[in-house]
Amino acid sequence: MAMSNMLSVQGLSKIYMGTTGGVHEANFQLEEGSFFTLLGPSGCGKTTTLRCIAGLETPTRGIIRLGERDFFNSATGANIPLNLRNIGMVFQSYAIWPHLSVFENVAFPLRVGREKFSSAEISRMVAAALDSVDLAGLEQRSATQLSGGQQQRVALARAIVKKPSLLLLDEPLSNLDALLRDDMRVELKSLQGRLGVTTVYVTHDQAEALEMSDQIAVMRSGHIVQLGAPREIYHNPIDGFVASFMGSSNIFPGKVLAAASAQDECSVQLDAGPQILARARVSLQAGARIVVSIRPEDVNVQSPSDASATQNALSAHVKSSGFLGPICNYHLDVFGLSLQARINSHLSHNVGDEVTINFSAQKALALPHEISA
Amino acid sequence: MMEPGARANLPVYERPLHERIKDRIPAVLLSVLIALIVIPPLLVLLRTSLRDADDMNYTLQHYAGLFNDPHLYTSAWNSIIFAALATLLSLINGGLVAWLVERTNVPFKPLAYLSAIISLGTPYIIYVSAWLYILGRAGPVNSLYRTLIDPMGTFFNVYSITGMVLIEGFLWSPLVFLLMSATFRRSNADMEEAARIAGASVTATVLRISLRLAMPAVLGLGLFVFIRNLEAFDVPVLIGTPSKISLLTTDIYQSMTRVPPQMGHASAFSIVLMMVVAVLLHFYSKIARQAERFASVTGKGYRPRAFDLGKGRWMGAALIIFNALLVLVFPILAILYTSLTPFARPLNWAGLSNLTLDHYRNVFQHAYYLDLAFNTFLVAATSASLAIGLTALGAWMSVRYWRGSGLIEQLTSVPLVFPGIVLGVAMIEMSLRFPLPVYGSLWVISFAFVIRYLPYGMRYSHAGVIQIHRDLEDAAGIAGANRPAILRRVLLPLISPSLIAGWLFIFLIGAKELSIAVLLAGQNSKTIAVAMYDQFVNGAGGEVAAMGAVWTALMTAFTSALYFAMRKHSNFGSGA
Repeated sequence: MAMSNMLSVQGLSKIYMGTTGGVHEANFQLEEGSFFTLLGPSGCGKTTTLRCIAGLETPTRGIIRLGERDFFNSATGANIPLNLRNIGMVFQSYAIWPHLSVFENVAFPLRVGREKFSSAEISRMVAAALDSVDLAGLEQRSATQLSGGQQQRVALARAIVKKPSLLLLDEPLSNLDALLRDDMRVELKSLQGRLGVTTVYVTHDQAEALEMSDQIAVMRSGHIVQLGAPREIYHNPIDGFVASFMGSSNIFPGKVLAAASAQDECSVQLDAGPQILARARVSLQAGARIVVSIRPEDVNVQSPSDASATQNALSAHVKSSGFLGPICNYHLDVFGLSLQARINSHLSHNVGDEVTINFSAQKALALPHEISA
Repeated sequence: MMEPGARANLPVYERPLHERIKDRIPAVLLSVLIALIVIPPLLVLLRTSLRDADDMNYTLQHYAGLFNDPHLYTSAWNSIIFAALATLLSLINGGLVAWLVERTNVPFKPLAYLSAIISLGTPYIIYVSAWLYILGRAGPVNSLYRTLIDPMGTFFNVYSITGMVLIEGFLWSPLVFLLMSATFRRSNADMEEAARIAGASVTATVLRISLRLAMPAVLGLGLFVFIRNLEAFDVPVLIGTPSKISLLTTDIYQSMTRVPPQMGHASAFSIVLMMVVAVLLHFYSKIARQAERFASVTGKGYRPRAFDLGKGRWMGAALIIFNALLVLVFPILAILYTSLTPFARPLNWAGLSNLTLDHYRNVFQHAYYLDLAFNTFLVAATSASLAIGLTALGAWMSVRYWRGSGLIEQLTSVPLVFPGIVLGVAMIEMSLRFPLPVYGSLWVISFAFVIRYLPYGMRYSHAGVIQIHRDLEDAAGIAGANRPAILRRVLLPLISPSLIAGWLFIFLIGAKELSIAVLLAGQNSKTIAVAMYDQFVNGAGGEVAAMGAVWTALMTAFTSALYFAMRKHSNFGSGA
């Protein structure tokens, strides 16, 4: 593996006096060319982490190293100013300079850096950057005449024009409307692949993170709670927080009845009453307090007369239903718990119907509520 | 790969000492520079006020003399009455016109703007002489009274505190109008519309919602205008002095112009006046903060729906026309008439049939007038450029929290406590002590103007920087730009509308400033305002009127530029 542009972050902390924000002891290493996402709710420290890498914030302690070069190292006192780090960044607000044309916005990094470029080189590099984001021909347009999507592309062209060794993206899609956002995800990912530039992406949108990333770090209150490939994080969340952040809406507290080792089935007494079988994420002691996470799409809903399953079969009644086209979203009452189920919309149940639900023990995860990071 | 949560046990980062010092240098240098500009006048005044006449010993005799003289209390009382009533008049008049123009369907709206804009660039002395004529013994008001009612009587004596209040009140109405219309324009129409939908009548909505919401802004503006009226010099010296009505500012002026000048007395007087102003400013800043909390600013660009006044709109129109006559038509006619008659005479047919352009010919031919124009332009342009330049840098550093920038904003607001005449006293003392022969030169006047207008410059620069999203600068840094490049390539182009507006505003008020210039001007460093004052005192001068007419036309062109720069920028008048 080439060491040249590997990003390594060790023990990175940014502590704001008198507040709970910031980042605590963040560690990760990114292979060259990989797409890495910092994912979490607002205030979790993902943007602070990104701004530390960019040099917009000075960390309290830690090491940020790109290849052989220490951007920041609190042990040696190294701290390279942001304008000498040669990185590209797309801001959430795009930060397109309204007094400059599209061409001048993109040419800016070539004009202000230490390295000097001839005007022919500048024209060629700007044209190439605009071409790669499909904006060729808009060079002379004033930046204020652009749509949100076009501004986003200009910001991207400006970030890549100088072939940066690292690309930082701070929620770049969050200001776009839904359709455009889906297109841009695909485009951004393929552009990143073509450029082969190591990329750190910040978002609160788990779907974006899953679709685009090679690695995801889920953050909560300044800590990286779980770090792994998208499939791992989706199917094997480390705790209830990660599970619910990755789209599991059914999180029920309960107690382990008999000790189980990791990945084994164990029986769990839910606080609401019923006893079920779940898969242990880690080895669990008898009596341990846990939560069980069940994804809405893993729940089967049947009329009591049709019900045949015996494992984890519980009776429920329908509180509300929402028709979403291909699927139907049900809110069910199970022993006083509110459980969401998402099933094929050809099967239909009415509000107030008595139904039977079941789910496989493999799809019900017994997890610690929130691991302390 | 290191597991998340593993402790690396790294030390806390400490910025090396030389870098921490380097970080602070720019902001500390600027702070020191501003301090060297604004602090010495304070110290000089304080020192002079505490030294005896021979400058030998420290003494409190000037303060004792001041407070033991019953004259002080008469002047103080006159000043307070004058300032309070004039403030009330301008608030009611200017505020009402602002509300009519911004929130109702009153006709003639552009006329209100036109009057206000032209008044910004017109030297006060032109207004005062026009109104003195109109309200004076021989003027149309009293003539009409004598013709119709009492052939021997006088309906109104303009040389009285009432006359002064009327004239000062009308003098401030245009600026109050501009500031209040900005407030009304920004305020949130949703709140009024919600009241209307809830069933409130127009009157109830205005009383219960609009006025309540505007109250902190009105109070703040009122206190601001009161302070300015307390410091006013033009009307007190032009009307008060001839009619033997003494005010605090004219008392200070007189003790400086006596032979020999009573510097100790004037300085003690100045210190006392400054302390009063400082206390008032303290309350003003409290109210202003409150007003900001109350301000329901909307980001939406649409203009709020106007109230329908019905037939009442014609009464509103009458008020707008009345103001336009007062601040636009009459003064311009009066000055045109004076500039076109060969010698001073009352307005009648004989006078009108004998008009001449001689005065204008002289103005354009004599070097004296060219010098006046040049002096005025130089002083106003130099002070505007320096004040805006310093505050643009200062605002950038303090808005972005540069290390070492903590005192910049406070330092630039120090000059707010100097009434113009007080600053004039301080500058005389400083220039007399200065090793080079600067006394009476244009440089002293320019320097005094820089001090006086730093706070105004800061208002414009600060407003400019604060509305630039920080990301725009950060993006330039990431792109590889260092701080000078960020300033030159990103910040300055983006805040230039604010800076241009601020520059024009300072240029305009500097060009007509009398109180400082009248004390500091030497024979060869007179500005137009000072020359007009001299001519006013020595009897009306047709040439000065012609000069004034030309100057007003020029300044109106400047003001229109200011107005359009501001309109585009939406913080018109926020510098005052």
